[in-house]
Amino acid sequence: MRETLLEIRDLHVEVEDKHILKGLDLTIKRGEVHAIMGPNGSGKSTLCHSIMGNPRYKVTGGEIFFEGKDITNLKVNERAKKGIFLSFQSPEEIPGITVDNFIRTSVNIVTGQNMSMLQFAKEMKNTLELLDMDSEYRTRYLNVGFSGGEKKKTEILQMAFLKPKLIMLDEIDSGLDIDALKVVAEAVKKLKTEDMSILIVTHYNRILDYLEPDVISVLMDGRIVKSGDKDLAKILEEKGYDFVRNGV
Amino acid sequence: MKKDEIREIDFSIYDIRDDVKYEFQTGKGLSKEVVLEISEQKNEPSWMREFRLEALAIYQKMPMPTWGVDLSELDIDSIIAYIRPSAKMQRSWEEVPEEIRRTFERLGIPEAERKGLAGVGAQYDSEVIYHNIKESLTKQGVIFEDMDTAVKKYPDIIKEYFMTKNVLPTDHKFAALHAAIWSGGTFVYVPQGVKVEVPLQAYFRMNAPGSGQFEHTLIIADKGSEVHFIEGCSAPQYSVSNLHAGCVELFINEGARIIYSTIENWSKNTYNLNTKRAIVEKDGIIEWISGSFGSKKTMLYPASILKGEGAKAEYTSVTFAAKGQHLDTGSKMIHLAPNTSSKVLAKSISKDGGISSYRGLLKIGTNAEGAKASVQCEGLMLDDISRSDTMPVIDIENDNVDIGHEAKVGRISEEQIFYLMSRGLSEDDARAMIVRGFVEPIAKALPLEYAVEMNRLIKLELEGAIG
Amino acid sequence: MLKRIALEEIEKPSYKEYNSVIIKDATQEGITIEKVKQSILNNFSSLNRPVGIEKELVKEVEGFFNTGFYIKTSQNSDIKKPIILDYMANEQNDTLIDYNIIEAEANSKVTIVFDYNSGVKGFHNGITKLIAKEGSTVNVVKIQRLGDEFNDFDSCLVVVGKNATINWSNVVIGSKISAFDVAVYLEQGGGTFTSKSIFLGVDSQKYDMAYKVYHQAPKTTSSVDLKGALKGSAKATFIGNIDIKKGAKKAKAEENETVLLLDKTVRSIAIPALYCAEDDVQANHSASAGQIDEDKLYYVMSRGFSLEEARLLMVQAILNPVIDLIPYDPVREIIIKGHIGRRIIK
Repeated sequence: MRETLLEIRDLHVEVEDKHILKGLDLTIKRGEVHAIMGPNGSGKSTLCHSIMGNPRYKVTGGEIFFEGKDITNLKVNERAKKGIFLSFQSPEEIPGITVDNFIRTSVNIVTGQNMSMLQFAKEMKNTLELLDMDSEYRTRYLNVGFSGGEKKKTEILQMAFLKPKLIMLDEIDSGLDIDALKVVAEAVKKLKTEDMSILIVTHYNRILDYLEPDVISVLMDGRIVKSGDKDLAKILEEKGYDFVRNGV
Repeated sequence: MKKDEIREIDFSIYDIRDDVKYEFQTGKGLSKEVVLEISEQKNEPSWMREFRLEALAIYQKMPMPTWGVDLSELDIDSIIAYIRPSAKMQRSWEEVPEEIRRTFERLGIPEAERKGLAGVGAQYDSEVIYHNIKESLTKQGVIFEDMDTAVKKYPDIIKEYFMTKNVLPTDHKFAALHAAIWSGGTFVYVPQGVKVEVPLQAYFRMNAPGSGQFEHTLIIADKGSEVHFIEGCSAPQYSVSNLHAGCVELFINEGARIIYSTIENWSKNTYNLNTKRAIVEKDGIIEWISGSFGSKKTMLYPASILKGEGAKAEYTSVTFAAKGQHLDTGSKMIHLAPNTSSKVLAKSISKDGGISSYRGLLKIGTNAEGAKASVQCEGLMLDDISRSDTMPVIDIENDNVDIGHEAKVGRISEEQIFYLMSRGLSEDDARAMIVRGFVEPIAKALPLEYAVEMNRLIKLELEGAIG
Repeated sequence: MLKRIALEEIEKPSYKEYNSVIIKDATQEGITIEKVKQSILNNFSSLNRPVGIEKELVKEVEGFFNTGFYIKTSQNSDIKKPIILDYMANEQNDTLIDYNIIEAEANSKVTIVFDYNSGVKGFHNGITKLIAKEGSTVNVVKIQRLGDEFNDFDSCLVVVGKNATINWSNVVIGSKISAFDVAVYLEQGGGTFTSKSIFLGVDSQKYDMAYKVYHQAPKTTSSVDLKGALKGSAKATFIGNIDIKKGAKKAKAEENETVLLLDKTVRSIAIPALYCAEDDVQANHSASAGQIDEDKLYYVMSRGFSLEEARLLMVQAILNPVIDLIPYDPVREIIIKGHIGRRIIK
């Protein structure tokens, strides 16, 4: 039995005074690929942001444990240092700061040591190749003027350097065409080590074809209403969420 | 070389007051006697003495400006117009008196000279105490001289150009003041076709309390020549106000190019009322790069007069107004000839009740067929007790033009902060990074060491470590 | 640095009566309209604040107005048909000094058109003050198409209440000299002021146009959009102040000016200032000026238009979106076919 990496107990979250998560329970084991599916507005992104620690998402009840420690009140950057990574659905643009500069700063902070220039350059080259990205991205300002697909790839590029323990992919498939999706998914698969867990949030099945999930959970009305293996995705595709809602 | 590998500069150095002996100083205030004394101390030719006296008469007649910053607390009569350290001008650092040399060493000037400057001038209060230029440039005919020496050594050129056809004593009260009591500064002449590859630098340091600095910079870039001139300014903090009223006159002849960079870090009790103007002939280029951090009040509007066909001007600036500061800056772009172009990128940051104002003029004259101009102003507010004002004037007298102006004010978004923090940065680091990105266009335009210095100044301002 | 319209240039007429105004659709449920008089004005001391192009001009209206109306809606009323004030000047009525007050009660809706038109030579100087109370929506269109020898001045004050909405338009085509000044006070939360305005200056027309928007309360929104074209030796000055005061958190303000320059001899001055004393705001302004895009002209001409016709079309393209806002067909037609066409194609 693998050990628990993330455990969420009875989580309640409000966003702008709207109650979104209403007593959510979730456990993710180390190394596990866990997909969360659910209709639009069910609270999938809220879940990711709550795990990451976005101050706009107010936890009004429940706890989040990471590696056995309560992180419910931890600041976002402290969570990043613990190994939590969120690939944003719409990453922010930071004018004037190059991709290179940003990733180096971030890696040095998260790992607490200076990565050598040589190693950085080597890793950068490999990861860019893996993601089918041109090396000119290194000198572009972070996400400024990037297409949706380029932004998503840049998220994975950051992930590759930060080597988190928990990777959250929030709608990684939105804004990506089929070819790019395949590149991104294959890259994630390749970058994932045994110790890393992945939380995929999506309402499409395609990404799950590449990143075969060990567990699929269905999030509806702010709660996990059903969990199962990857066959659950197929059932959902055929029968829709009403199938779960009606509790058949 | 990577920017962050440059040695860090310790900025407490700016605030060290030096215990320097002064050989001579004029009394407080301004009178004919004071002007005559300055002229006599400098042993000037009579034409310059007459010029000073005429300027004094203009100064006395002219009213104080009623717009811009509040100057009601500026008491010019309590400012010491001229103050000479007991040091002769030297061409080797070893010969500069120790206390003064130590100051410039702390500021890293001799080291910078060794590392990569074509020439260095250092002014301490009213007098230039060090001036040196690489021999190879002298051989090519480049003149880099302190202004007092230039008046005696090149009287014909100085007489022709000194506040006669660019900035005039009649332009405004502080131009007249400057003309009457100017002291020190730099004269540069770059002969036809000569490209000075490495920058020339002048460093202006005000040390004595309650004094004024009135240096004059005159640069003539002859046809097809190029030069990059860097100006650094600092002063320690005293309880009495200092006044800086310098003047910069640039002449850019056909096909020539001047880059004029400034990092200004006057102490926070300095009134910085400076005049800078460039006249650009056919196909000439002026590039102003400016970082304004210090001073209590600043009024500075570098002007580019695009006189010849195809002349170009760029103005890239960052103004950081923190507690107790009102920095009123902007660019004047005057298009007088066909196919001239200008580009303004003015960024400002306001914090802790500081006021940054952009006051600009874009003028397209009737002969400026095919002129192109763009102005972009961005104000970043770091809290809700500061101010950011933008006051541009766009005056067009020709139809065949392409003019765009944009301005916006905003703050750092919470979403940006969260995104950066989710990659491990602390909130302060995230803010600092966003601000650094905001000023990147200016940092990019500066030589490496100055970009580092500017980023350090920003960091210190963000931490509230200055002032 | 740049003076507004110099009064010394203007010949001031002596006092005269004015009796040429028709109000269309004046009698509707929920609205009362009466001639303005001093006793009414006395009730609006809250509207005594800085207004107008120039003190002297304002004083003249205050002391010598010879026409003008007090328009008041009742609470929750929805005035279906636009109220049209047709100030039609002529030889006998060539001195028009109007003082108008619009008071929109809570949650009322109304559209009011001021159409200053006709005549040849004359003088117009007016004040319009608008107070829009909580939740009201007031649409105001000010059309200035007076004769070629008119001097025209219009000083407006707009006070926007809680969650009230003002949609404002100036259409400036006539007169020799024409100046307006609109001061907008967004003094309560949620108020919105939107202005979409146009001007067309030809020959030696001189225009001076100012919007001064004061954001004094949270979540107030303003948008000022001015587009115009200048031909011949016409001159236009645009002053656009956005002034975000302390306390106006989450204010949104934008301002935009676009000028088409149709001749070498025109003069265009823009001063789009932005003052900001709050950080949690969105504020921006932009201004642009230039000739008609040559690629567009080429495209239109490839469809058979002459150069002049193509230019007219391009001018219409920027003016029409505002003209379309005039809720009165006959006036709209006259402006499009008569005024604009006649001025562009000579």
